[in-house]
Order: sequence, then C-alpha cells, then structure tokens
Amino acid sequence: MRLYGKLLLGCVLALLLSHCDGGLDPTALPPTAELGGRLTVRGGSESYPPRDSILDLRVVAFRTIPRDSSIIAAVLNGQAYFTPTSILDSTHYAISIPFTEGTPEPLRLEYIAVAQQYGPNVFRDWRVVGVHASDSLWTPKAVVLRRGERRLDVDITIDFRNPPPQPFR
Amino acid sequence: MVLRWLVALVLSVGIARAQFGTIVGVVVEQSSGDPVVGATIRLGGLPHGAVSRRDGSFVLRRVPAGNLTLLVSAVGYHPAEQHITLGSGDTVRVRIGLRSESIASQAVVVSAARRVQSVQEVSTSVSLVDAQAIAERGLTRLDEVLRYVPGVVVTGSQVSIRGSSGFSYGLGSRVLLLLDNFPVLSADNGDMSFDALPIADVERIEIVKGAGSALYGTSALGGVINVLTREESPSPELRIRALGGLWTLPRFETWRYRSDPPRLGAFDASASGAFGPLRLLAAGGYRSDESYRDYNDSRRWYSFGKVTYELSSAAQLRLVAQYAADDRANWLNWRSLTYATLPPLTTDTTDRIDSRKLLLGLEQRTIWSPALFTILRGSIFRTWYTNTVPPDSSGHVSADATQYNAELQASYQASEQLNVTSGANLVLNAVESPYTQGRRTQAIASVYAQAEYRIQENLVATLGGRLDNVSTEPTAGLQLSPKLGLTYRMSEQTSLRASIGRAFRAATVTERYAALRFAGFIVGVNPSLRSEVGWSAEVGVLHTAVLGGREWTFDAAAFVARMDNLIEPQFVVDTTAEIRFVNITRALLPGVEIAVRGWLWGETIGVESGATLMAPRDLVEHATLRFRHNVQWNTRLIVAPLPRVQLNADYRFLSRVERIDERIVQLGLVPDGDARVPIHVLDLRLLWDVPVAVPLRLAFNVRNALDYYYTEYIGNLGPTRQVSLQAEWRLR
Repeated sequence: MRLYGKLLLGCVLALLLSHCDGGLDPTALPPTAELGGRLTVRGGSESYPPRDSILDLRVVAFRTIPRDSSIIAAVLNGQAYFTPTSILDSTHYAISIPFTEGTPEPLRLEYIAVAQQYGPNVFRDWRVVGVHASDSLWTPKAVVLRRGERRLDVDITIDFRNPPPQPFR
Repeated sequence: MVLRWLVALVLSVGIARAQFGTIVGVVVEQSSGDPVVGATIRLGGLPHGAVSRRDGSFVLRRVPAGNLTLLVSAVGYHPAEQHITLGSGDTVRVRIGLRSESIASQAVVVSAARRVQSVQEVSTSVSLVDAQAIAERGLTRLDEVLRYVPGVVVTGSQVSIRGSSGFSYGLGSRVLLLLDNFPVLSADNGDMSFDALPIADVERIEIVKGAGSALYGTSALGGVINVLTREESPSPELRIRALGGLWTLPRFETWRYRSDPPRLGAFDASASGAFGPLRLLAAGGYRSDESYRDYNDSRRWYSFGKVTYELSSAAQLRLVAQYAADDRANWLNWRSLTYATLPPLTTDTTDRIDSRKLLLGLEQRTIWSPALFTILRGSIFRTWYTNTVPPDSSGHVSADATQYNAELQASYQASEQLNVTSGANLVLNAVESPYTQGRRTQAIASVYAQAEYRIQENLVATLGGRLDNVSTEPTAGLQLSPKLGLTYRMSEQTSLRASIGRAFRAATVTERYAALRFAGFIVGVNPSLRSEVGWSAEVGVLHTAVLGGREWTFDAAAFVARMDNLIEPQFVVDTTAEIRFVNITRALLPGVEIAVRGWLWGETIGVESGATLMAPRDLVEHATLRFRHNVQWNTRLIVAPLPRVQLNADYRFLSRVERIDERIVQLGLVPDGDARVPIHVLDLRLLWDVPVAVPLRLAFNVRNALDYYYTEYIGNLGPTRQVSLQAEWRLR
C-alpha cells in the first residue's frame, strides 16, 4: 500500500512540475501588430448620409488592392483585417493584426480604407469612403508592419459626398 | 374512468391506515456514541425524510409497513444503510452509527429516477458534491463548484457534461439545471444563472450524466444538475460564513490594471428551526468582487427561503423562494493578449448590467397508500435584466422572461418487483424583450413514465420514455425520448450499469427570434429552427474495496453520445446576409471516465481523483469538435497531520482546446483569440477547527496557487491567483 501511495503521489508531483510552465505569456513573442490612427470626416457630421444607409462602417487593411467588394470574404481568407466593431462616430481606430501561420513578415498592407456597408448583403454591399493616402488625389499609401510593432499614425480622411475612386471592378 | 380512479384512491387511503408504522431512531457517531445532529434520514424509494435533532433523535411517521431501507447521511460522515422490517401499526426503534469521514462517499441520489435511490441502483453515471466539499473550498458560486467534478467543464457561463456543449456565450444550455427539483434555466436564453443559487445552504449537488430527457424533457441533452438545499433543522440553528480575500497582482506589467491587489468579500447567514408542524430556513448573502480584470467587477445579493408545513403525517407542503440581484460590469473579451485584463478600447466602461432572478416554487407531497405517493409541483422562475445605456440608444438591451412550470408526478409500487414513476408537465416560457426578440411565448407539454423492474434480486431493468410537444417547432413538435437501463449487483462490493437513452433540446426563444446587432454584425431571426436531438449510451462499474484497512471506491464508465441538428451561429446568405442560429452540426462524443477515492496510510492522506478522456468529432466537417477538451483530470489530496487541522490540495488539468471557431479570430472580433494553452490549476487550503465554545472553522485558501495563466474561453483570461480567509460559525 505504501508503495502504491508513494507512486501515486510521485506521479501527481511529477506531472505538476513537468507541465506547469506558467501558461500564457504576453511577453514571449508579441503575436500581433497594431495599426491605428485618426479619422477625419470631410465636411463634418453634416456630410453624413442618412444613418439608415450606414449599416456598418469599418476600417479595412488589405494586403493587396481589392478588386471586388467582398470584404468579409477577404477578411475570412486572411487577405484583409478590419476593426472589430463599427467606427461610426469614432475619431480614432485600432486594428489588432494576428501573425498567424502563413502571415508574411514583414506584412505589407497596400490599401487601407474606410468601407461603408450601404445595403443588407454583408458580403457585397460595401463602398470605399476613405483611404489612407499619400496625397489629396487619394493615392493609396502602403504600410509595412512587423510582429509587436505599433503604428498609430495611419490617419484616414473620410468623404461621404466625394468618395475616393472605387477599386472594385 | 376518473371515477374508478378516485374510488380506488379513496379505498387505498382507507386500507392504508392499517398498513403504516412509525420509525423512531437516533443517529450517533460510531466510535464515541456522541449524537450526530443534522443527519438526513431517508427511506429508499419513498418520499419520507427527517433530520436528526440536537440529541441525534428522529421520528418517521406514517411509514408503509414492509421491508425498508433506511439511508442516512451527514456532512463529515460515511453514509449508512440499514434494513428494517416494519409491521402494520408497529413502532420500530433503530440506532444508527455513522463513521467519521473526510471524503464524501456517494450513497443516495434523488435525481436519476426522480425518487430516492442508492447509487448502486442507478443505471447512469452520477457525481455528487456535498456541502463539506463546497464549504472547505470556500466556493460561493455554482460554476466554481462544478469545475471540480469529473466530466464537467465550465466555459464562462456554460456547463458541459462529457463534451455536450462548446462555447456559445451561455446561450441554450444542453444541461438542465434544477434547484430543489424546480427548473431554473432562463425562459429566454435557456442559460444558467450561477449567482442565483444559495450555495452556502446546499446540502449536495447531483450531476446526472448522459441523456436525461426521458424524465426531464428539453435541455437534458448532456445531463441534469440538481442543486439540493439542506433540510430545515428541527432545532434552532444559525450559520454564519464570512470570507475576505484578494487577487494577487499578475506577473506581467501590462496585465496590472491597478497598483493594489483587487479585493473580494462574501458574507452568508442562514437561520433554521421548527415550530410544531412548520419548519423554516431563511438565508441571505452578499458578495463583492473587484475582479482580477478591469471592468469586470460585480456585486451580488441573494436571499433564499424554504418553508415546510406538515399538513398531516402523510402530506407535506413546501415553499421555496429565491431572489438574487446582480450589478456587474459588462465584460465580453480582452483587448488583446498583451492587455488581457483590459476590455477593448471601444468598450463603453460606464455601461453596467442590472440583473435579477426570482424563483417561487410550491410543492405538495402526499402519501396516498403504502404503494402510491404523488408530488404536485408548481413554480415561477423570472429573470430580468437591463443595461445602463438609455433605452433610445442603439446599445440598449433589456429582457424580462418568465418560466411557468406545473407538474404532477406519481410513484406507484405495483409489486415487490415493479415500481412505476409517471407524470405530466406543462411549461410556458413568456419573454418580453422590446429591443431584441419582442414578445414571444413557447409552451411545452409533456407526459412521462418510467418503470423499474427487479428481474432478479440483483438485476434491475429500467424502461421509460417521455413525450414532449414543443409549440415553437416549425413542423410537428413532438419529441419522444425513450430510455433503457440495467443495473446488476454482482456482489455487495460491485455493481454494473448500462443505459441508452434519447434526449433533445428545444431551441430557445432567443436563438429563434433574437434580432440584434452584435459586434457590428446583424443577428437575424430563424423561426424554422428545429430541436437538437441526441442519443447517449454508457456502460459502467462501481466497485468498493478495502485496501489497507480503509474503504476505496472505484468507478469507471465508457460512454458515447451522438448529437444531431446542433444549433450554432452561422453566416447565412440568401435574401439577406446575416448571422443566424441554424441547425448545422452533427457530433460524435465517445469517451471513458474513471474515478477513485480512498485513504492512504491509515487516515493520513485521502485521495479523490477523476479523469475523463474524450475524442469529440464534428461529423459534418470531419474534424475535432470545436471548443472541447480531450482530457480532463481532477485530483484532490487531503492530509490530516493533526486532529483539528487538515491540508487540502486540488489539482485540475484540462488539455488544450484543439479547435476554436477560426472565424472569430479571422474577422478580428477577438484579438489574439487563438491564444490557448492546457489548463493546470492547483488550489491549496489549510483548515482549522478552532477549539472555542462556539464551533468555528477557519479556512485559508490559495486558489490557482501556481498563478498559472490560461483562457477558459476565447479571449478571456481565466481566474488568476486568489488568496482568501474564510470563517464559519455554526450555532445550535
């Protein structure tokens, strides 16, 4: 009996000591990068379209310039990242970008835009109303990120009345 | 037909008068002969029960004559079973000795067959948690208690038995929750309200594993949890429990959301006594927790009352009332792993949830004859909540949901071999939620019957079934849930069990009708949602052996469950595109479970250990089922170095969740949502029975002593290290 008891206790202690490494550790390797910035609406709040036509408003960062409006599909395929909730009435935004398996490093984001969902189809009814641009002609400005990096100066101007050229075919 | 039934009933009552007897007894501590106060005495198969007085004495009146089994249990003692023969009009005197025991032994259950049974007679796996185990661990909520039960996994506000549930923010529980046999799942979400239960006054919690719909109907897909509060004391009794503690600061700077350790405290008091035929139990408590996470603090109040009135020696009326209020922050998930104790930046941290729960239950137990007793039960369970966002704003949520439940149960001992339990049940769920579901109702009408037939002295077969009609089903709402069980007692030490049964869960009002915006997405209604259905089967063995002069109990089971039409939120694109709850998944859940408990080296070290190994499969995606742990292992060691001092250690292991919902991560809804590790939690405690005039027990607890960091569900850091001191007084 003594032998069995000692063996059992030994097993418990051995398992405890061998497996308890402390668990989750945010300092081990930053698994994400952060992208953020200021949002400015050209024309102020008066330029907003009727609220019932803004079903959703998100900042979306694409790895390549998108050719169709299926933003959700691009996010699900890992080709784009967007703000977790609507940015309507927000003055700033932040996107946490996970560096999962298959994510290139450094990660180049070619096209960072504000997209408005104007219709009921969450997969298709999107248009671009703002772009992180290098000039007033809406020329897209790319951003490069590495693990753990925080870029919070990626500002975007939104113009509901005169939106940027739509990249979608 | 009704007339014949009534005549038979009256006749049987008349005949019965001459067929009853009385049992007078005393319960004592076996070695010292000291009286055991507060022991529960039950009669196998019958509704009779009593609690021993201060001098250990008890009386059971109007007991049917015949061969009877007395089942006696008390906190801190090994349960006893005594067979007696009672003649008509006789008074039998018994003396029952209980042996002191620090490890709870499984003896008596009432939830598996809706009547008192010895655990060896039950054809499905049952786990018990008694008051002593709850008190020693300093636990104040049901979810904290269930984390120590083999085969049970708690994920946020959701309970899963043997992998029945994954993670759906608590919506649509696949485990039925009862408080003193009254159902307490909310009428709108079908979720559990852990804080609504009077844990300090629990006598024991029974966890019946596997399909339970044959007796309990909807929601018992994975099993049934019945929280049974203690019997009212026959002599005046006051219990006070106070707990104070703190969360130690985490190792990582970015997780320290404040400079001083967050505090927590709890206070519970209960009084119990009897006035002639009236017995009372009144309890109340308050718990405040600043939490290890920012914007996750809570304050909870509860009150609980139980009144039992002996209408006659054969009839008893019981009222159960429970009210709980909860003011808490609205935590959903972390900002990121780097800031795991902070909510997302977009969170409105002024928003709080005000949540209330009320249970009113009335139960009448009547013994009509030595062979027949009935239980008439009615209850109202109301939950209502609102947040502090003004009603005209988009973020406002509120709901008021009430479940009305009426039930008649009859148990009939047709012969020495055959016992039949049958009943009818009507449930009405009424929901008023102007900003999400609107005004909705759901009615479920049911009849059920279960026969237990003793084929031989040591072989019992159980055959039963329940027919439920669910009003909200799109087509025929009938659900038939049959069950077959066998128990074979090979010897006094060994019993075998086997069972197979079907179960279902009707879609909740929220899953069917909720229309809201969640994290920027539209959640749409789906009135055509069908019930989830499943079959589960198991074989098991329960063996008691004497090793080293001490009793050891071994329990092993192999089980498998097949579930269809499982409801999950999905993107749906047809006329519109939105998230809807749909019947999407089929699952297969095979596994084995082993539990052992006993003492090593005389009474120096006590061991309780249970492991569950599973291989849950998603049959649609041909992959591991999401949000399940394949391995669970719980171990408790009890060391008693000195007569009044005990050291306890609880170790909990859960293997890493193999698969989560990748879409949540890809859509960026929960940053670092795939951060997950195996779970190792070690709790340590020191118990000291202080030798003072008023019985006082002090418990020094360190929960998650290793300060191990893990996620219990997506984007949610599990509880970090907590240190607390608890004092408990019992005045009799």
